[in-house]
Amino acid sequence: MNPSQAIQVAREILEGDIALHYFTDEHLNLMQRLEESLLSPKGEVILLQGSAGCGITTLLRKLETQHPTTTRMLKGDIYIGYWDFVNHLCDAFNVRRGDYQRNLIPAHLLRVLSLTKCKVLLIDDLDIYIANENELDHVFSTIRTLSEKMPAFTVVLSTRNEQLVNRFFKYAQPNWWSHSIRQRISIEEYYDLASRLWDGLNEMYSLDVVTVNLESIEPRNGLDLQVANKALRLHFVEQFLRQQGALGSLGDFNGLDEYDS
Amino acid sequence: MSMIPKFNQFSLPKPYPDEALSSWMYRVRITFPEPEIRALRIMNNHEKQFSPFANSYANFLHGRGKDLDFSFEHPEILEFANTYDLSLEWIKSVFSPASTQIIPIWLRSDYCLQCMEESIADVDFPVYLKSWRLILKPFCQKHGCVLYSADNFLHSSIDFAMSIFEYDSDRLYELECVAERLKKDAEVQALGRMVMNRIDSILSEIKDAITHEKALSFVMTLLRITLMTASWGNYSSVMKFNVQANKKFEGENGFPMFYQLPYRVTGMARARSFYLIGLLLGWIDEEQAKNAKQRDDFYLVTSARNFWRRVEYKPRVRTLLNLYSTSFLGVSMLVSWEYFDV
Repeated sequence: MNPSQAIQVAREILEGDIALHYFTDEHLNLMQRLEESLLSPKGEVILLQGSAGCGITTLLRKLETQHPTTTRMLKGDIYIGYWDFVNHLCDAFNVRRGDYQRNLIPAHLLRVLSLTKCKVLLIDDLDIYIANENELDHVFSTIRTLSEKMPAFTVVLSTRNEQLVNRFFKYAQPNWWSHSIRQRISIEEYYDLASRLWDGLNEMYSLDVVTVNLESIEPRNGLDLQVANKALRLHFVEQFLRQQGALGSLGDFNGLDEYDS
Repeated sequence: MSMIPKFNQFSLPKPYPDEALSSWMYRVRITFPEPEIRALRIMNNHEKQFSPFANSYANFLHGRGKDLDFSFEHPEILEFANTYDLSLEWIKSVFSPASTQIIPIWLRSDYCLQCMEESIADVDFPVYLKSWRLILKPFCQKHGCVLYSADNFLHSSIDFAMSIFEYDSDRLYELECVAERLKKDAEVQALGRMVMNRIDSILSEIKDAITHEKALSFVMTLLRITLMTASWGNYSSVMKFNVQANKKFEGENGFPMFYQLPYRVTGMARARSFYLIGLLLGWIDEEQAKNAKQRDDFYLVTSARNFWRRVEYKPRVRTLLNLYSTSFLGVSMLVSWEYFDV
């Protein structure tokens, strides 16, 4: 690998998606549970909670790209405020709503849902689909009606809106569950993350970068998932470039990570 | 313009088997609207004003009244091919109709609900199939059922299939009723389908183009005869007889109606015409017909003799039939012709 190729790979590693499966056992368990729900949809409604930047959007996008035939991400970013939730659902499943009463589920949406292979609906940030206060209840009553009529219809949604979280538990059925994605990790989990991430990167790019001395790269701003992830990736890239002899040709190491400046 | 991604037939959604061009165009535009939108976004006002692209994008939204299934030289189809980097030859090779006898776009109404539902399971969109536009194919090519008829206002829309799938509980009830009524009539339809298949195989055997054309005209004339006003009693149990359209020619005299009716009636009516043609050609005998007929379908004839009795004497029809007779299909084959040939 020549230096310019090495720098290209280094960039890719630094800009790569946060991969939740490299994180703690808890994240790993969540991923496995979600995968199971997606492979054989059982009509669950799953609420993912977590502070901003904890990787929910990345997770949902990843689920969508890994299971393109069975999952459908709710679109509708163009029509904020004008449409109700059923309109967004119709849009996601290529159904015409028609000129019918608001908040009423059209008969053909149910028909299409029973026919299509996409049984899993992914909703990233439910808040943006809420136009007014009435919608808060309407969203979950719609989801409950749909999951009653379509036994396999599964929804994975995320929100940070307290009112929506409360409504979720108000309308919850036995197979509805929620999970809070943790952003702070313990020092043990940090060491686990380091080994998983580095092994994962070595495997993904067929490299044999040896990384040691974890104490020296301990993130200064506390054990936050994002910070830890970034610090560990930077360390990995530094070792990799040194191994490839490309560190010399790189004038400014910080220039690699354009988001860091 | 260089920022517009170039698509081709390999990256776009694959045409569904037998899919009509209008249906595929609709799916492509829904799935990949980027070329137009992106181009319009990067243009400044001056560019937009003089871009043929902006105009054609506006035209896309008004796709009604044009035959985007089969008129491949239509400017909108050319624009579509240009935008998505498709060759017209490829479009023609994939979307050309299988027969020349096509129902005009403004009388298009037939569809198979089962096929649409299957396409939703396969490609997430209800698709419209081009074989539903063929006059001599009133039965679904895949399921063998009689094609349903849609409302007249859907006929020319590019999103025909999507509109069919826009319904409420009233329409669900209507669909149930149609299915029930058609089920009662299943045996007569089965005979009609047999006749259609037999005609199909005879026509496909004919290699000579002129003879083929004559035989096709013979079949079309029989279709017209069975749809003549005098024969309408045979259709009293058919749920929907004609497609609602401009009534300009109706009632003036029988001549335009005689030629137009095969285009103007629904798939259900044409399916019954094939049953009557079977009687006339002697492919269905009286006993078969009596067994197949519903008890309450009072006016449906079960023999060629009764059919000819009902139809008035029309020398023009006799001339036409004689003109189009061939060794494959001809007047000599018609049963009880003597009642008519006076």
